[in-house]
Formats: sequence, C-alpha cells, structure tokens
Amino acid sequence: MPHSRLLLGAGIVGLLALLPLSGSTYLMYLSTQVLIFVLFATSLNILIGYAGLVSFGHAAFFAIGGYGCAILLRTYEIPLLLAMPAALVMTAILSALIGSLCVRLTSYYFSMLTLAFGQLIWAVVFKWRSMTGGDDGLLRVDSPSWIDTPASFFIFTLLVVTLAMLALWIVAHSPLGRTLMAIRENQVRAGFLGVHTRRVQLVAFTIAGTFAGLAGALFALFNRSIFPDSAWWLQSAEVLIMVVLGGMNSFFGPMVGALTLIVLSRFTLEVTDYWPGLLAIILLATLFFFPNGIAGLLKAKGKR
Amino acid sequence: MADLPIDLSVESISTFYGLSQILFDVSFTLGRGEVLALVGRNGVGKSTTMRSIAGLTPPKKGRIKWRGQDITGLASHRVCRSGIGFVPEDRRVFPELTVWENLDVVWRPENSEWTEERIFDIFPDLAELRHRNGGHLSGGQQQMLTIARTLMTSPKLLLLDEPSEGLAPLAIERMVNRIAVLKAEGLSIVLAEQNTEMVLALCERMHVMEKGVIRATLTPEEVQADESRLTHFLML
Repeated sequence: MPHSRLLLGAGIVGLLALLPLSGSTYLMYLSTQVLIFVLFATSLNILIGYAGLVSFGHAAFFAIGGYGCAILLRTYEIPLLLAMPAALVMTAILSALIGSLCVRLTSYYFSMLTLAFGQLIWAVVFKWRSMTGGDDGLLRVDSPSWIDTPASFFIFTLLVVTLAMLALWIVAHSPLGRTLMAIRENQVRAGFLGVHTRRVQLVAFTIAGTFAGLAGALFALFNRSIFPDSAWWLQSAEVLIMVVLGGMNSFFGPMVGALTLIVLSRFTLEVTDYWPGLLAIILLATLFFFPNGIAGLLKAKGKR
Repeated sequence: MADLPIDLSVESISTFYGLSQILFDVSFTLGRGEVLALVGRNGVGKSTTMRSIAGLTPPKKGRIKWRGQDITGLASHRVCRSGIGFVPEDRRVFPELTVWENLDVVWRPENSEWTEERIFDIFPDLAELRHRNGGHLSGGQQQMLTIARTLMTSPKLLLLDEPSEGLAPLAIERMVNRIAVLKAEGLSIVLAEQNTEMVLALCERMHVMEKGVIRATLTPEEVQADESRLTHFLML
C-alpha cells in the first residue's frame, strides 16, 4: 500500500512541475508557499504524530534555518549552495542541543519547555540587532539569478521539498519511525524492552528541527526577507493547527492541512477580515467532529 | 541445584513506593537455567520484586547482581540490554503496530540470538497473525506476543509476572507448554504466579511471599506431598 501512495506522490509532483506552464505568477507564488508549509508541518508531525511529543516552539527551528541562511547569504555573501547546507547544519546542532534538554521531560512539561525555548530564540533574534536586524528583520535576501523568477524558484522549492519529504517518509517508515510509535504508545514499556527512549526521541527532535530549518531557509528566500515573527509562538501555533487540521495520525495529513489552511486563508482574506474567527470555527469543528483531521475523515470514507 | 552457576543474586533488597515500604530485605539466588517461582497472594510484593530487578522501581537498600555485575539502580533499558527480559502482568502490546512490528521494534542487530522465524516456531499462532494489529488480538494471543516481544531482546533471564492472569484454562495450558519450551531452550525464569498448577508444572523451587518478605522456600515435591504447606500461605 505505501508504494501505491509513493506513486501517487510522484504523480502529484509531476503535475506540479507542469505548473509554470500556466503562466500565472499568483498560482506559483501560492503553490511555493504551500510547499514550504507542507515541509514545515510534516517535520512537526514527526514529533507529534510519530513520537507523541507536542512541541509549541517548532517555529524556533524554522527561524534558525531562515535567519541562518539569510545571514550567510546576505551578510557573509556565501553562495546559496553552501549557505543552505551550512544553515541546516547549524539548525541541526541547535535542535540537538535544545532537544537534549526538552526530551528530559514528557507530556505537558515537554510542551512548556519547547514553548520557553521557542520564545528564547525569538528574544535572541529580536535583541541581536547587529546580526539579525532586530524587529526590522533582514531585507534584501537575494536569491542567485538561476532561481530569481517565480517559476524557477517554484521548481527549486518543488525539488527541495520533494527530496525532503521523501527523506521524512523514509524516516517515518523506518525502524526508527516504528520505535517512535512504540515509545509514544508506552514509554516505560519501550524502556524495559531495551529502547533508550530519550536518545530515540532526541534523534526525532533533531530531524524534525532540521527539516523545519530547511523550510525556514526556503521561506526566507521566498520572501527575500525574514522577520522575528517567524520565531514567534503564533507561528508555532499556526503550523500546529495545520498538523491537527490535516490529521496527525497520517504521514500525508499535515500536507493536506497546510494546503487547506493556506488556500482557505487566502480566499477568506479577499472577502473578509474575519479569518481568525473562521479559523477558530474550523479548529473547533475539527476537534469535535473529526479529531483525526481531514486525512482521517478521508480514510474513514474510503473504508466505508 | 547446587552445581548451577549463580546468575542472579538478589541481596536483601528493600523497595518503596513513595514512603510506603513494599519489600523488606528480600534475598534469593537463581541458578543458570533454573525456573524459580514467587508465590503468594495479591499485594505481597511479587510484582515489586520483579520491577526492582527490571530497574523500574529500584530498591532503596540492598543489591542486585546479574552474572557478577551490580545492576542495582541501572536504567531499565540497560537492565534489558544486559540480558534480563521483563514481561509485566498488564500485558500491553503496542496496539497500533502489527504483530510483526511489535517484534521488530525491539530487535537490535547486535543481539540477534532470536529471530522472527525462531519466535514463530515457538508461537505458531503468532505467525498467522503477523500482519494483524496488536490491539486486535485476544487476551491469550496478546500474552504470547508480550512474551515473544521480550524474547526478541535476547534475554538470558525472563521475569514473567502472572502470565496466567485473566486467561481461560485452555489458554493457561498452552502457556505452560510454551514456557516449558523456553525452559528447555535454557532460559532462566523467575515466575510470579498464583496459579498453583502452573507453578508446580514449571518450577524447581518456589519462594512463598507474605507482606513483603519471603516466608518459606518449597520444592514441588514437598508441596505435592503435603499441599497444605503451600495453601496455608495462599488462603485469606
């Protein structure tokens, strides 16, 4: 079954690659944004759906990747093909450091600690004006000429996100993914069956953080700028909502969640300013009527 | 049993849950390949003894030695990796993983003494259910799976906590059978059990526990000769 899904995924990627033929800049702009958030939300779902660890500070790593890439590119004028991997290594190291402290605690305490670290990263970004530009953010983060049109940047994003999603899919379906699920279901039990639970959770935390960093780097390039908001807790909340809405018990759920949320917010904002109100209603309806998200709803329909 | 090398020695351990003391100076030893039973009513400290050995509730006093190494207070995953497999009484499999995944998830390449094939030879019922989710198995099947899963960690010593609990007589008979096979494979076993028939069928010695201490040590022959020696402790 998973292989037929991979084929479906390959089909979708193939179709998306044809999108620049439409000639619509708006469509490409929107699709690029969706792709970046698909990756961001899926990285968070490695923690929530697989490891059972709810992070309220995942945006911290999104921002670290974004700022890291932007600073290397703009301030130090390092070429993108070096700056992006370097930003990822930096995010991975910081994820591992922060993660090693967070996974010492479980459930609510873990969530609170991630929130605290998220806000700490935001404060650093906000105050370290000489490096990050403080609340003015970093502007003029220029992509190299080979990806500076909407179409070429879209294709670049599609390629990077596809490879990253494939890597995450492999992680989720590997022995590591199954071990995470076992820990999620019963941490004590996994422990006396020989699993070093904290270490496995730390690996998951680092992977999730690093891929969020990749999404952040793409986001900074996409907007040609980055602001402290990207580390703010509301950004963490937004991506969490994407995961919940799409369905955290499925690998592809967050993908659907990111797509739905971004497209809905675009269309709603064109007609009304009450998007946050509508979002609240959508969230309530999700939690009450289809707690397994859109993916869960589709799966249930498929079984019927 | 005197000629067996001593693998496990529990040396006057005292274990607490919070402030309340559950075990009082419990001591015993286990020879290699031996099956030892801890018997007694509910709440006498059988499970706590098991949990103390497995590293889940470390004793406050006393020592536990496993093959010469002091394992007192070691984290539970380290105890497991040192060769002690714990099968708790509330048999809980990983319900969302299939039978095969339940086994595979704890398997580590450096410890590959047990393979799925070997497990399925001993538990043929599980082979047929390998793609079924753990949560969809019957009580007896789940109990088999929890034992099989522990075997995948390649233990030399199995701590079995009330494997007969909640099982129908036929399932108990099958369980006794399977444990006998494991015994024949050379595994040492500590069995906490209230089911006298199971204990008599499998063990070489039994320690009778009462209020957190070992009151008596009996052999199956002694019990068969005079059953009151055991029932005396088990009656309310």
